This record gives sequence, C-alpha cells and structure tokens, in this order.
Amino acid sequence: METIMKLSLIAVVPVVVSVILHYLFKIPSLNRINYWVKQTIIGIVFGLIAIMGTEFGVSVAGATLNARDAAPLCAAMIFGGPSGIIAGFIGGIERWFAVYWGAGTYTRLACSISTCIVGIFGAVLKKYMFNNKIPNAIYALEVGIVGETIHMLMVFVTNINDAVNAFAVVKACTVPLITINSTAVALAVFVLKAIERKETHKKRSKTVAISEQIQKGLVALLILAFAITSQFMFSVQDGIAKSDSLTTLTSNLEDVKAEIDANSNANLLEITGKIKNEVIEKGYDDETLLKLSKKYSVTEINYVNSDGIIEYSTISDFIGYDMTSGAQSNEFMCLVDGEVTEYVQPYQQISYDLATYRKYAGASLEEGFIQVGYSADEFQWDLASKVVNSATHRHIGETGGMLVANQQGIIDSSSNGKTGTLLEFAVKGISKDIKENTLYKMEMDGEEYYYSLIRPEGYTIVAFIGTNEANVSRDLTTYMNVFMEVVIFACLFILIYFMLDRLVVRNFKKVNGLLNDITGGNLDTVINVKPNEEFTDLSNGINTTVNAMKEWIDEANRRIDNELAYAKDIQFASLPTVFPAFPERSEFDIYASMNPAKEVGGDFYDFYIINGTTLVFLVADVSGKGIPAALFMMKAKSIIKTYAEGGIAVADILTNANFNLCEGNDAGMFVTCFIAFLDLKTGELKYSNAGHNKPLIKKKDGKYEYLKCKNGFILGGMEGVVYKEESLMMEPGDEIFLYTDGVVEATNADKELYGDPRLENTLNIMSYEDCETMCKKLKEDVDEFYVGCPQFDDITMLSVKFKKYFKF
Amino acid sequence: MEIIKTLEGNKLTVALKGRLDTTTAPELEGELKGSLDDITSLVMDFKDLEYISSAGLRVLLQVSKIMNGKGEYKIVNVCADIMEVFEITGFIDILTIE
Repeated sequence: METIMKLSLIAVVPVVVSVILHYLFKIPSLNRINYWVKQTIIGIVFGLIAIMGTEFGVSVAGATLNARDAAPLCAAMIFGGPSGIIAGFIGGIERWFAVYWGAGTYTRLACSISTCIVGIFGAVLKKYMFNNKIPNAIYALEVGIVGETIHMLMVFVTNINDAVNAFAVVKACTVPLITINSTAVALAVFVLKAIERKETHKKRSKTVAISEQIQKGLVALLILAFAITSQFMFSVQDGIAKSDSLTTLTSNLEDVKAEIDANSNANLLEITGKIKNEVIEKGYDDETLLKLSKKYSVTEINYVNSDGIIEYSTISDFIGYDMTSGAQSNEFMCLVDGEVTEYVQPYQQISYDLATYRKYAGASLEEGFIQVGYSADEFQWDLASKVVNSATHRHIGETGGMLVANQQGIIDSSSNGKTGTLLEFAVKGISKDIKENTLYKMEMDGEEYYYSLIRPEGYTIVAFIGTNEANVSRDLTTYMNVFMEVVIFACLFILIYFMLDRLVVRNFKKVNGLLNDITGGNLDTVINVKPNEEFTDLSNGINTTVNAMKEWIDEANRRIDNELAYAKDIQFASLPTVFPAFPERSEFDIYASMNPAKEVGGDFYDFYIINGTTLVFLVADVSGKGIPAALFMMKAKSIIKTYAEGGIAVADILTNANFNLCEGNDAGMFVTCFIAFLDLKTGELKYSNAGHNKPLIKKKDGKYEYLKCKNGFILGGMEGVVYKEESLMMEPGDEIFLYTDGVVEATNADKELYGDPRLENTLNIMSYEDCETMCKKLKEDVDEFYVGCPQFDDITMLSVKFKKYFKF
Repeated sequence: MEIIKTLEGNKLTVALKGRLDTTTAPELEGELKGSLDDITSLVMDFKDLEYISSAGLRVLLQVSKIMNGKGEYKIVNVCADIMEVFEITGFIDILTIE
C-alpha cells in the first residue's frame, strides 16, 4: 500500500510541475523570455524531477522502481524537444554518478543511457510526428510504453553475459515501471492538453485527418500482429521448455532406476546362489524348500525339472505347472538350454496368476534349475540400505531434485529432506493414474514444479524441477521478443507515419494552400506539386481547369467591361460636362468634374439656372459604387432636378427627395447631398445639407474657410426627415467650393488621409485664374498625394465664383 | 478587413479591423445578415477600424433597420476620424454611439 502511494506520488510530480510551469510562462514578463532560455529552464526543472525519481525510487523485488524517464518525456511532449533532451541528459548523467551515494550498480549503464535516449526519442517525436503540438494522451501513453521498453531492452543489452539475472530484474520491473512512467506522461499530457483546449476555446475538429485515420488503423493492426506473434512465440517456447524439462527429468529417473535395478538383481542372485548351494547339499523336496524359504526370507522356491515342469515348490498349487506355458515363466527356460547358469527378472506380474507381482531369479542345477521369487515387501527390506542414498545427492538444476518411495508409498530417499513422509503428501495430486515418463505440474512447499515419474521394482521414483527455472529460457525469449516487437512496431509506425506525412499529407496541404490562393482570386497561381505520379496528375488537372476558367472569366470580364463603358458614357452624358457651361452669363463662373474610382461611380454634381436668375448647384455622393450606385444616382439626380424646377424652397427639395428615395429602397442605398440656390440678383445663397461634407467658402480678398452649416441626415436613409434651410449673402468676387469625400479621404501609402486641413490649406496657397484651373490644380495635388496607391472613392469637385449682380 | 464575432447567448459583439469600404462592406453585410435572427443585443466594436466609406455606412443603416424593435444596437470605441464621418452624414443622430 505504501509502495503504491509512493509510486503514485512520484507519478503525479511531473503533472503538477507541468501545470505550474505552463501558468508561470503565461505571465507576460516570463513569456517574453527567449525560446532557448525557456527550453533550458524547463529542461533543468524536469532534469531535477528525473533526479528526484532516481533518489526517491521504491525498492520492489530487489530492483529500484522510479519515474525518472517520465520527466524528460513530459518536458519533450508538453514544452518542446530541446527541454526533453536537456532533462534526459541531466537525469541520465546523475543516474551514472548516483551509484556513489547508494543507487544500484547493476542497471547503472542501462538506466543512464536509456534516460538520455528517452529524452531524445521524445524530442524527435515532438518535432517530426506531433509537429510541435501537444499530442493526445493516448499517444503520450504509447510513447511512455515504448520509452520504458527501450529502457528494459537496455538492461538486457548491458548485461548480456548475465542474462538470467538481468531477466530477473526485468521481470520484476517491467510491468510497474512501464505502468508508472507511461501513466505519468499520459496524465501530464492529458491535463495540459485540456488546459490548452480551454484557453484557446478550441473545439475538437469534426473532420478527421487522413493521418489520424491511418494511425488508428495502423495501431489496431500492429497490436493484432503483436498479439499473434507474441502468442505464437510463447507457445513454441513453452513447448520447447516442457520437452527440455521432460528430457532432463527422464534421464535422471533412468539413472536412479538403473541403480535400483542393479542392486535388486544382485541381491536376489546372491540369495538364489546360496539357496542353490544348500539344495545341492540337502536335496530339493518340498520340506527342504520350505525351510530354506523361511531361512532366507523369500516368498517361494521352486524346483523345475529339465522339461520345465515344477516338480517341487513351497507353494503346492504351483507343482506340475509347465514353465513354457506363460511368457514370463518361459524366459527361465534359458537355464535348461544351458545358455546361462543364472537368470534374474525385473519385478513384474507372473504368468500363473496375473494379480500377483514377483521378482524371480533362477540358477541351473545338473538337471533342471532352482527358481527363487519374492514379493516387493521382502526385497525392499533387503534393499532399504542401498536405496536410502539413491536420491539424496540427486539435484536437478538449482531447484529440482528426486524422491524415491517404496511399495507402501513412504519416501525412502529424497534430495530435499522429505525422507520418511508419505509420497502423496509430498507430491499433491499423485495417484496410480499418473503415467510414467510424462510431464506433470505440482506444488510442493508453496513452489510450483514440473515432475515426472517411473515405477521400477515396486518403487516410485519422482524427479522434479521448479517451473520458474524450467521456463527461464521461455520467459526470457518471450520478454525479449515482446520488447523487440514493441520497438520494431513503434519504428514501423513512425516510419509509415513519416512516409504518409511526407508523400501525401504535406503535398495535400501544399495543393490546398495554392487552391486557397486561387480561390482568393489569384488565378495566375500555378500548382506545381509533383513529387509523384498522382500529385503530378492532380496538379496538371487543376492547372488545366483554372486556365479554362480564366479564359471564361476573361471573356465575361470583357463583356462586363464593355457594358460598364456604356454605362459610364450614359452617366457622363447626364452630367453637364461642357465648359464654359453658360458662356452668355457673366455674373458667375462655374466648373465641375467627377473622376470615378471604378468605371461608373456614385458621385454626381449638377447645376442649372431656374427662373433666369437663380443658379442651382449641388454635389452628391451615393453609398457604394458601380452599377447599383450609378442607377441610384440617376434616380436621385432626376428627382432633385424635378423638385428644383418646381420652384420650391431649397430645404423642401431635400425633404421631398428623401421621401421619394425612401420609397421601395430595399437595397438600403442612400445619398448625401449639398444643394444651394444662388440668387444672382441679390447674391443671397440659400442652402441645405443632407449629410454631405461641408463646402468651403471664400469672401473676396479673404481666405477659403469651411462653411458653418447644419448637417441633416442622408437622403434615402429614413422616412420623414425634415431638412433645414440656411442662407448667407455672397458678394461679387466670393467663391464657394463643393466636393465629395473622395477628396479628403484620398489615402496615401502611409495610410494618411488627404484631410480637411490640407484641402483648406491647398486652396489658399494655390494660384488660379478661374474655377476650371482651380479644380484641375487641386485634382493634381490630390493625385500627387496618393500616387502609387489605388483610388478608393470617386473624386468630385464643383467650384462657383460669384462675379457680379444680375441686372435687367 | 477582419471581422471578429463573439456570441454570448443573445448578445453579439462584432469587432472590425481595417477599412470598411466598398470592397469590404458586402463581406460584413453577408456575415451579419444570417446571424442576427436571435440577437437582442448587438455591439459593433470600432476600436481597430481605420476608415468607413458610404458603403460601410449603408451596412450600418441596414443593420439599424433590422435591429429596430428587436433590441439594443450600439457602436463603441469610435475613433475621431470616423466620428467626424458620423457627424457629417447625420448618422450621429440615429445611431447609438458610445
């Protein structure tokens, strides 16, 4: 429990530190720090966490568990590659020297190197696979697993001459180390990713990237391949381990069996020899045989004549039995043939009665032979002193040994102090059904063992070996195989991802970028993404389509240009453009000009004489430009003229025109207008303003100044607006200048406006003979101001000079 | 021109950046036309707006007509140049400008 608590605490540290660092670098003064300085700081902080991991590791099964590798991975995954590499090297180098103050030496090299490698690994992935973004937690988890797998492989590689011990360390560490480190990385990444998402209000994209789709498929496929190959490898290794164990056990069993057999045979042959000698001396009638059987503690003695018939026996039923009638008894006929003088059989069923087991030996006489048989109880008593040591020194491997149990099931000899106990207590699950020379599993003193047995001479010989020891090669191979596969599959995954990114995704992005250019209006963009056949085809296809489109657009543009030119002609034709406009009138001079920003503009001016003595002049600006503005302008112009010629007051013209222009104005167009009546008899100027720029007025011998006038609302914007009339007296020599915002809002490259003050100033320092030269010179000055920049708005000017009173 | 829309419930804030003229006004009109249905409060932030032309004024007027009776409509952070345009055109009297 304490171990789990400690390990969890170690795993949580990188998470907490990541969050703190994230918020620290949000502080503006810290955020401004140079990238490399930041990476170094983060690298050092996580390096210290790695050191903490080393120093506060938890000892489990003789190996020290820690979360050292999680620190450089967190730094790399969350904050950037360089910090991960720095943290990795700090952690790795400190681990190397940590042996001087207590860290383990066995995995010194492996731990040092792998912490450095893991930092570099994280940095490479961050840059090339995750495009310097924080990856999803699931990928962080996978990176953690692969990183720790590399660590485990390093333990093997650096202790290759001591594979069994290295394996013991790896076996104890693998699961907890991989779990704790990958969980720590995944957790930190998960938390930071969540914070980042919250801060940027970034929602998960609904569309799935091609790389993501393939990544998912690839991960599933690799896991499947990994599971199948690992399982296959394990099964093969398991089979080999079991067969090897059985071979080892069997050869040991055969050795002990041979020893017991030899002792047993020698014992019975010795007894038989003694009995033979006594029979030669005393004769072989039933009575003598019975006495001898008691003397030598044997079960039976038979005399068989040269025809193979039992003539005398300690067991009266056997008398008259023909030895040739049974396979077992027939073997003894070799004594009659004179081939051998003595013969001994293994303990087995007898031909006369299959329910009875005996061990027989025979010795030939001059005629016939003597056969001695005894049951297991009797000969095991004789053999006890020989058997007792038969298994004592028999050790199999480091954990294995042997047991020899007698007919009663009591262990007579053992390699592990089990002598005297019942076999069925020592070897759980043992029974008559257990076959000879077959591998079984059992538990003894809490350990698991493989065992095999044989049953010679009524004994049961058991050989056993610890499953861990028997399987060490299998487990080692399987672990190595799993580790290598993890690394190989990770490499494969990264490689496929790279290829996909380089060959497909990047090119798609390039094509999309160029397509955006085209969509953005640059039809001259040529798509030249040709890394392979498919993209070459795609590029060529798009280029052909765009070219075809371009031709169509050019065609359409030419048509529109023609139409706009017509429209411009019509618009211009509606404006008075002949100057001098009233050559017969000497009371005033007037000049006006309009330069549209596009082909047709929204500005207009107008002037005419009503009642012979009143000069009406106006300048107006329709919202927007182009055809819609021009159409609205024509309407406004004719409405105003109609009302003006109707002889109503100047303000009423605007009030009425507004009413008409609001009608059916769904497009929300509007027009600003300054209109004035100059009474040529009195010089009185009556004027009204509908949201238009204030005109400039100049008294004779004075300077141009902005006219102080009220601003009414624009025309066409809102129904029911009532416009006000104002007036002033003009004297001969006075001038008034009307214009549109295209003049004052002309903008140069520095984004400066021409502006009201400059307009006023220019008019005052300029020298001119009449209204026409004044307008033209001013236009030149404005053009000069924004030279090289596009003309945003129509530029319209109207200048009137009152020269003398009208006289009848 | 850049249009940044921030929606909080029924309150829409539209921040404009750059020039609102003949070329960009249709873009703003298109952006707003579809998104004013459930809006009861519309704030136009002119903090980063450099210039407004008559075409831009037209869009403001159109929006004003849509918002009329639906709820609040105001324009904030208007710079001096644009304020002058509002004064000249009389928009200052019909728009809520803060």
